[in-house]
Amino acid sequence: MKEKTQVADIDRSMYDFRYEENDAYRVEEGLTPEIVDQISTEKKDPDWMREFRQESLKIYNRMEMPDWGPDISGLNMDNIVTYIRPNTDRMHAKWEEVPDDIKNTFERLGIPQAERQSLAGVGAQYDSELVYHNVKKEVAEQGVVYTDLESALHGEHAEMIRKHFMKLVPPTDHKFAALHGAVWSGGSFVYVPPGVSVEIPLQSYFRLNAPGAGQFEHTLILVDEGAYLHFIEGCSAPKYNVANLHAGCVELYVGKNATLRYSTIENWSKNMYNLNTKRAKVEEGGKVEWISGSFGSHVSYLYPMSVLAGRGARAEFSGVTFAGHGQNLDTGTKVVHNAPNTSSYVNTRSISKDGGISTFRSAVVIGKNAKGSKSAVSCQSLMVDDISRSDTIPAMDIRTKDADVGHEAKIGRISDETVFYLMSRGLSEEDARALIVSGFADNVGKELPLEYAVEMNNLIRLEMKGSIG
Amino acid sequence: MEVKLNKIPALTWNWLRMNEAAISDVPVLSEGTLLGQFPDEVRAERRPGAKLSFRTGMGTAVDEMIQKSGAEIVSVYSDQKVTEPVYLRFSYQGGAADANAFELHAEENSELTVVMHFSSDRKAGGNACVQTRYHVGKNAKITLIQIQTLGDEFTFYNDIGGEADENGSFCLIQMILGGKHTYLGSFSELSGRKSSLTADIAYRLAGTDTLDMNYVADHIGQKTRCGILASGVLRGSSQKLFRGTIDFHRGCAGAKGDESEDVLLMDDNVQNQTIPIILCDEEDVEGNHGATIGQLDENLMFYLQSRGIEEEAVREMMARARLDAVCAKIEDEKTREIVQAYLDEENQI
Repeated sequence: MKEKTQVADIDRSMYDFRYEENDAYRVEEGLTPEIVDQISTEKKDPDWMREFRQESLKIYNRMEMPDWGPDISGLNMDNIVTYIRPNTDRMHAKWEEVPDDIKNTFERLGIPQAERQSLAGVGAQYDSELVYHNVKKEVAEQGVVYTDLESALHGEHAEMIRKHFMKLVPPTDHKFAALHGAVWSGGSFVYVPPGVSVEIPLQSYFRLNAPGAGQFEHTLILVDEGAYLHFIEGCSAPKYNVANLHAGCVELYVGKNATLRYSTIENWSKNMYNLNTKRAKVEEGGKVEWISGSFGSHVSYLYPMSVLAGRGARAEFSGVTFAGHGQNLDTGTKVVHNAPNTSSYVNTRSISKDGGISTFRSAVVIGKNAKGSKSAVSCQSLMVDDISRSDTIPAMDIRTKDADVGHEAKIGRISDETVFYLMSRGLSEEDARALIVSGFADNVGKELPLEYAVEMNNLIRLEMKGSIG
Repeated sequence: MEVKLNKIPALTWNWLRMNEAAISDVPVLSEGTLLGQFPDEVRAERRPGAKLSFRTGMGTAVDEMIQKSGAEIVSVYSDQKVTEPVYLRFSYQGGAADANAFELHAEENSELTVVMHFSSDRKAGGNACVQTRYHVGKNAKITLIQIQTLGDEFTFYNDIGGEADENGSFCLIQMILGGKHTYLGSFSELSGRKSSLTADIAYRLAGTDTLDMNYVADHIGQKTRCGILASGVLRGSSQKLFRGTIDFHRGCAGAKGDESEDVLLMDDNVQNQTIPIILCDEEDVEGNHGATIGQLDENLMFYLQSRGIEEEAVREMMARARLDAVCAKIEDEKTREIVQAYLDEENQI
């Protein structure tokens, strides 16, 4: 007799391990001007940054919580520790120098192995600080800068940071952008000089180890004229019974005729509030490609935005969101066409299972001066069982006659005929369904480097385990 | 009076300004007069207030706007299939501030068609508000046709809400051809198994006209169906906002919903906003949305121009075709003629 499997929590042992907290410094829980000032002192902020943080805190206190998305009433900032410095005195350029517990964490996640095999550079953040940063010699010799943002803020790139930091995502953008402006720490700075093509990707990996903590890393990337970069971002955390918060910020500047591919496989633990903000500004002839896989978090608000500011600028967004038990993932994208002959293509898949809630939300805005612009949006949703939920909320605002905008949305279930066919070829029902879901998410998988596509499919397989009961 | 109308069932970013319409200068409205023509099989009676309390597309604010008006109850008995339409003609005077409320009842196995025509002098201005609630019984059908040819300065509020029982169907055809500011809302509760909604909306906006719409199909019963099609033409500096929601509730297994929109933008200063929402709490459903917004297909333009038709003439022809396609769905010949005569006259101006 075929044994029924149970819909149990997935096996997250790869991500769900934890080490005893062994941090060197942490601020108190909550959010006050004094705590923000302590972070400034700890990070040796220049005066303008110290003032920026305090002003951001004022904006945070003035702004309302969002009234349109998933419920985040379980997030109490009074219980969140906004800055934790891990027990290492500085950022390291060699793995051997990283403290053992932190090193073991990243080795279990496969980061050093990935660096050796397929990356041009790696940054690893543990709680609030980068603990390791390295870039291959040949890439550095091309003039590529890949360092932690804090070093950049104090070094030769200080003016460049000041010119671009939170200019695309100002603290007034929304409440959690203001929070980020007040308490940000860690994150990476990348600069790719004109005409330089970084053939293999750079990666930053963010690990949040402490319960009840927030991670607020800031990623700032400038890809100059005619340059190319693929940047990969990964994130995970062990699961705790208290809420953790991720309110990072990513600002991407894509120069004239440059291309930036930004890939994310997000696998936060399911007690995480992921309120992240990502935005790209693309100049004439430039292109931004977002590849986004959202698998983790308890609640997500995540909508990478592309501002097409130069003639002929392009944006592509390929996303997959998998919402399982206890998850409410509100994801999507925003595109603003602000120049002539710009184009955007959005292709997303949402999967809901085991009571999970998945919402696709988008906005395409074509301004009056974006004549000759084109946009196509396709969003598909798959309901894997009858206790889950999937919503699509796409919006379009077109302000010129000379635009061509297409939109299509579909929602449906796994076809019984397809499952039957695959089972007739010898697959179990569970494997058949996992295979169908992997195929459904192929829009993202095929855009990722092989190693990451495999990881994504493993995540889908883990999520689908026990789906037949 | 300040009112908020047409709120979508699932909110999105406030900066898009699509979540609802806020109007600050709604005057106090009094009961308006109308000319009714009722076939013998149809029962018509006036009541001081409405019997039905179904949710409507524009929301509870309209209940306040029509509170000084009684309700006209139009009913058809069981097993009566009334082929001749009920005609309700609203000829508004300049400066009107009129409100009317209706209830349409189609009992089991019956059919009822109602044609509402809202008109005024071409240059007239004023405020007109109509609210229609309906109940479609088992195996029954209500067809509601609304033609709006109001004057250039009129503000028009048109609110609909109702329920369909098992195998009941509600068919809505709306043609918005005049007026300055038009607000349309419709909420259909498909509670009976295999109940259905079809909504065909055509509009033509010019100058500084605005059109604000909110259509909601609530799928509650099994194997329910809805099809919402909106098509139109924007010229000048006109603005249109289409909100369309298909809401699949848990238990509506086998339900299917389709929304589609086809908008032709004729001038550079138009603003076209669209938010087509699908909410899904049931696995065994199929929901689709498609939108085509912008200019005419290049191949079509090339073909027609190669046949000797000027570009401007092609654009006019295709704009008219969008209206004619919806007009052709009106079975009542007399109403079709009214629409065609109005469009022909407009083309000559």
